[in-house]
Amino acid sequence: MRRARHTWREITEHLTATYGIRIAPPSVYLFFKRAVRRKTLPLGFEDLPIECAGSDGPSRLKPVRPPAEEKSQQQTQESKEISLIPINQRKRGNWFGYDPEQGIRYVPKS
Amino acid sequence: MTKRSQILFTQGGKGGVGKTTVIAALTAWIRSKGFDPILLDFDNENRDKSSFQSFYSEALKIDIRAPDSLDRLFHFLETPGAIVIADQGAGSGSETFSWFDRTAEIVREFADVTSIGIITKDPGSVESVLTWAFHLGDRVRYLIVLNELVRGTGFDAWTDTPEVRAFVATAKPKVVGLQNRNPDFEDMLRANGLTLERVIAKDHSVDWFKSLTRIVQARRYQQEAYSAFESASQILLPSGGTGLAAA
Repeated sequence: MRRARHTWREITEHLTATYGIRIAPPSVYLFFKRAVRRKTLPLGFEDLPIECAGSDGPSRLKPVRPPAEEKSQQQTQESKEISLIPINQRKRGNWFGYDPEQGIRYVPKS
Repeated sequence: MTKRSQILFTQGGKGGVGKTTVIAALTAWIRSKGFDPILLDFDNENRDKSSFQSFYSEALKIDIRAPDSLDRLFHFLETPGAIVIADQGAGSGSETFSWFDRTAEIVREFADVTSIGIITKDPGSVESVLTWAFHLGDRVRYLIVLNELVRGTGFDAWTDTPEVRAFVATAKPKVVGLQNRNPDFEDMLRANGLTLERVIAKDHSVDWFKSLTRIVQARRYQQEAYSAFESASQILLPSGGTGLAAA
């Protein structure tokens, strides 16, 4: 259910309604976190094998694009700045225009 | 519908601005409303005097640098409608920012979060609050306390800078002022691990606080603090709640 983007509260309500398990949402979160850390995953936590439509393997999953579109996408990627920071760990945007490196523009009153 | 919990935490930025004093007064105000908040002390720099735990011995000390220490917050959110008050030590930013980046979405399912920034006349305190806001983003609500530690010094760095105006216009924080503070009085409170409530109730054995003048000072401070928190109660108490919530 979590992978289907249900909230912890919805998962908790589902457990209560379906199995009669009374548990607080944070406990479900903590249980899940502990469970995925274990070397041996409990029953039901294993990743399901990815099924391919045919025997050709993953190559068949590659989307087919017109050559022109593929070329333009390549150019866009090349023109992007290469960053050492993983793309999933980049900082959020500067939401109110403050740069901690610059500090505030404060002039003390004489 | 399940009552949402409330997490209130001081921004662990600049030291010596009165974080712990403010949060101790906030704790007293929340208790005066009939709530029984859970108190967490993440300040590992101030171990004895002037730590949150020295004001409230029931505050649980947690080492913020220990792995997953901030995850312990979830244990305290088990009770719907709980109020968790956490005091952070100076320089606890990187741990909090990285934890919050990982868990903000999960926390949002259970609780509303209010971040408390303290401003003094020192421009460094303003930069510290803005830096915390830069990292925490619009995922929390902000209470800004203008804490006048030295009488009449003003808050130019807060009122006269474009960066602050941009923050106020975007984040719409609740801004409250605590004036007429007396540093000697607060130093004595910290040194003796006393709260204003204990001074007012004469629940101590410190001669310095026994005179009527000190008791009146304590009552004046308390009234001012309570009045300030009352004006920001929307972001300090669980929605629709007054009293009798947490166990």
